[in-house]
Amino acid sequence: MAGRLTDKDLQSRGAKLTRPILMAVLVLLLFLVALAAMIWGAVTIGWKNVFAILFDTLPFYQSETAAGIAPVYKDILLQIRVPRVLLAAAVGSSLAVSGAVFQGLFRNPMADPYVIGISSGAALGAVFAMLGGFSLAVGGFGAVPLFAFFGGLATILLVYSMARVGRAVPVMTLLLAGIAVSAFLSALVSLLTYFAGEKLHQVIFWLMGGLSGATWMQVKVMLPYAFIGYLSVSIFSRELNAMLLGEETASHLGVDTEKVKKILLAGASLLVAAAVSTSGIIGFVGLVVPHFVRLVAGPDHRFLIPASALLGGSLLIATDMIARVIIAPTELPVGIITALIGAPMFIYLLKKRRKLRYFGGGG
Amino acid sequence: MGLTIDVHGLKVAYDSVPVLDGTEFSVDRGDLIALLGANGAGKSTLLRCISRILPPTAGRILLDGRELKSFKSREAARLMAVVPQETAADFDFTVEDIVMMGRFPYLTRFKKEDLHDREVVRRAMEMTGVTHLAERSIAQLSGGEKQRVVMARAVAQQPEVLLLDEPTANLDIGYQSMLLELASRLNREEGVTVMAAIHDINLAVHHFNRFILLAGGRVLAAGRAEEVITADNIRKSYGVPATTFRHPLHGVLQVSVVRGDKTRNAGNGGPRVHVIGGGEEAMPALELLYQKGCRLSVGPVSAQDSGCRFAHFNSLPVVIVPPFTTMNREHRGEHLNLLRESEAIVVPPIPFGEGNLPLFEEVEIVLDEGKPLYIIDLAGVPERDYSGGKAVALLRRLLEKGASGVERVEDLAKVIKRGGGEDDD
Amino acid sequence: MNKTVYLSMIMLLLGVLMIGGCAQSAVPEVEEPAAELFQPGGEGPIIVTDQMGREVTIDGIPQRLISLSPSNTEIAFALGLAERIVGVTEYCNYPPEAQEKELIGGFATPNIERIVELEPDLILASTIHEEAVTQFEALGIPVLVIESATLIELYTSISLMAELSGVTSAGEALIASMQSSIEAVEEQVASIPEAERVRIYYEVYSDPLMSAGKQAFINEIITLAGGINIFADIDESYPQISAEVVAERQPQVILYPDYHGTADLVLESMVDRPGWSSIPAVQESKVFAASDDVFARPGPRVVEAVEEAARLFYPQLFSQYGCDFCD
Repeated sequence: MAGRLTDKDLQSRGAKLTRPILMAVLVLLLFLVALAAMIWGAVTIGWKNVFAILFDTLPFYQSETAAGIAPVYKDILLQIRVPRVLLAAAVGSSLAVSGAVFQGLFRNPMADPYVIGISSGAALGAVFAMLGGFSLAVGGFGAVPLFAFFGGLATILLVYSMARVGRAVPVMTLLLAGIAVSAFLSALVSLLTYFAGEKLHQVIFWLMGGLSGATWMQVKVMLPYAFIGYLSVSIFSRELNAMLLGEETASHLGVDTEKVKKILLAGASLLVAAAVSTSGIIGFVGLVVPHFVRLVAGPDHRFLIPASALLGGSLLIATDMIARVIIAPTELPVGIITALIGAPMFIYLLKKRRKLRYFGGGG
Repeated sequence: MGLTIDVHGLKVAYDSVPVLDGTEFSVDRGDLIALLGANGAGKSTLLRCISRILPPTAGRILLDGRELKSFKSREAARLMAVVPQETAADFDFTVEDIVMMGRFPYLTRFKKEDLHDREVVRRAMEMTGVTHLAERSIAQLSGGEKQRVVMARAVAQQPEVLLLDEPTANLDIGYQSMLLELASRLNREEGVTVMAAIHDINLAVHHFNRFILLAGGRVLAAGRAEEVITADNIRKSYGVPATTFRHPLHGVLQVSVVRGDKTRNAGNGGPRVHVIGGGEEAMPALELLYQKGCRLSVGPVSAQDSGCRFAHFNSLPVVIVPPFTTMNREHRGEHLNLLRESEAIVVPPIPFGEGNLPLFEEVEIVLDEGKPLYIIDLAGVPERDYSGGKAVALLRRLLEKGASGVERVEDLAKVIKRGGGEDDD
Repeated sequence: MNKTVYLSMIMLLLGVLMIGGCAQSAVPEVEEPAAELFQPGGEGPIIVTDQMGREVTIDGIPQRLISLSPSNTEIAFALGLAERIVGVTEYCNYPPEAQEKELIGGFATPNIERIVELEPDLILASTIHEEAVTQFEALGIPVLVIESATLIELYTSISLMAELSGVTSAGEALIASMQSSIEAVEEQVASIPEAERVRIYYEVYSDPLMSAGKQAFINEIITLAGGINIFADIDESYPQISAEVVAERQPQVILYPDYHGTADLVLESMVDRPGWSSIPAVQESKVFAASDDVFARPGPRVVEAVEEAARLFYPQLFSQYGCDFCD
């Protein structure tokens, strides 16, 4: 009996063909944006030179042009700009993916990566490190990102244990506990900031978020976390789809909801902690990128998660580039650029859709 | 096909408030069961225990002889599907996406949906009549369409057991009927064990053949409709007086709640009124007068007439004549007595024919004796005259003798108030 | 919620308060002007330990210097390194020649790319540039981190910079000249009895009210000029204070940085503050603007700052000092 497909089936599958196309577009976008961000910066290198230097790094290729370029430009490109672009991609995609997961987990369109307090915990850890004078400790690794990372993880553990009831963790309780803990920790951060004295600058700039400290070391550390976090959530895309219908319904369909919740929570938290400890608190990306994707391609997480990763990475690379270039040599905080550019784009997209297709639309 | 479900000594409490208190029953393969009970009786709770959402405080549930707890999530989902009362739809999945989710228990982590899955989904959508909605967003569908989609998803799970939790609660009668038809079709054609919590007893009776009635957290009655749905059981479980009767068309057992104010007014010392005849046409008059506190008597009626049931229910004096027979001497005597005992006589807008004209002889007698006689809807008599004009003539004669015409039943109340005895409006 | 959660929160709060307290003394401990830190002579690599406790190594004499803060720029120029400086911040406005140099960013936000493009062999940074310092280290560019809250620390900073740049003698000369000028003021001031010392209130911000505490360089200047900073008892750099305490402590002279506004405006607003009309400084209109550039930057112009401050505090004693930077 299998195989008796009619034309109608093929038609409906035709609609689904747009997804691979969209995905290809997003990959291309990421690639192009990354390239642009390597070409443009506070220092003018020239696109031909950039290409030459990049190609020259390939083992089997020697570029004549590259040989003629002053080494300082190679350093700038390869030691400063390239890691920064890669870091922006990793952080942007981590934020977008974790935002998508939290929105699905909590069935709440207003959820973002920071909603359950990981950012406050990370901030507390970072400020601790800055004020406690542990700076420049622990071999190559700043104490600040280290403390921030563990601060973030400790927070999610705290929130989780508060919300847990036996084996289960009710999602609503988790959300509320997260909001409460987040507020508490933020207050502590403010308290510490008040006593910061002349470290105030440092603290404020860290809180505002930015990628200016990017090094290859940071990239090497961030990437594995980004990968692990991404894999652990993307595997459960189908389950996340089912859970959108409600935990009871998902359970009826055979989803082990408690196990899935724990894994999704862990994976997303890892992504957020890694992102925040690397580059401070960059807003907007985690909240809006998943909605962008949903507006265009619907709520299926099998597409939503990879698409968010690509789009989030592209967005942060692009906005970081603008932040670097627009009033060089001074840099603007990237969080401001993401909001200033992203928000109008999002509003435009919302208005263009006659029916609101994201969450909670429809009649 | 289908599985057995055994429930033993089930106890469930919410915050130490007991909901199920020792529920016990068995369901056979291929059974088509309606779970009945008042709100809060525990129907939904029971279903949630069976569908593994709610762990019971005590007791066991066996699915096909195996402990329910021992099944893994996916395994259980391949055997049991649930159609809940409502589906929140604040997301933009297409109908096809939703139905395809019913295949989740069969898909391993990295396997994509294959041709077989698509075929199952296609057939499920066809069966529930939602194929034309495949690409529509579920958020845009009406309640009835949504429930059909959810049903399709359940069908796509290819379950052996189908649980429905008040699936028709928010649907109109058309969709209600259609949905339950689907469920019973699954039961008929595929042998799926179906168990549905339904609060509308009359609807349930139309579609199901076995019933379990819950009350006080236990099974009050289980079995066929006649065994379970009795006035007594209804009173015990729903706390309201009710009457059961056979539907005139299908003969299916039906329940009707008796309105409270009728019993309140029973025998309130109003005037004694006799109402002639007593088929459906007499009901409005009977009800109105009874509400107004009149002490009624009814007749002549046959045992199946509505008026007879009314009289029995309210313990009123009534003259019963076997169907299709004319009244004999005894009947006439009874009738005459009742007529004489009353203070007024009412002729409702009944049809007149050779069969019932003779009874008016007694009526004429008491009219001559001076009893007030009220005829409702005189104007419509010619239409209701199946005696070739004799009725019209008769009534004219009665009018000449002092009978009064009343246009509507409501006017009757005023007239009788003025006419006789006390009344308590 | 269970007890463990409550407990951990309380511990967290306590820990935070403790760290907050520690933060005050988080300013790096400073060495005395320690000649023994320097390697005698100029052959081979020069190694110094800077004021962050880092070891800085230079091979040969650096020819391309970049300064990340205005005070470092002033010191560098005073040491005669003008030609070797290839990059400064946007805020480096003194001496005027500094404004002709390449700009490499703001005060706390140096642009790494621009800096690297200029191919420096020594970067002069402050403790707020931690992140950038890490990057420079990763790129292998030597960085000197200096920080001064007192005059002694300032002399150390100057020495370090001079030593590392191969102009030790210029450093010694600068320090000597600064010392003699300041000692001149100190001698005169020493003759003023304690009871007649002027009480000073320095208002950094008016909303919220912020003054200079013991850790601020401004405090040092006030002290050297013979004044008593009414908030010298607060062991912070820029504490927020309450208006009542200012009134209570009755300062006789009020100084404010000149980015605030004109003296008249400031005086007017001060008079309006509740309880301030009784402050001697307000009553006698002894409210003066101080050039923020000069007072707040720990550099060679501290001499001018001290002289100006002395003139303002004790006009009868120090009338010979004019004001180079006043309008």
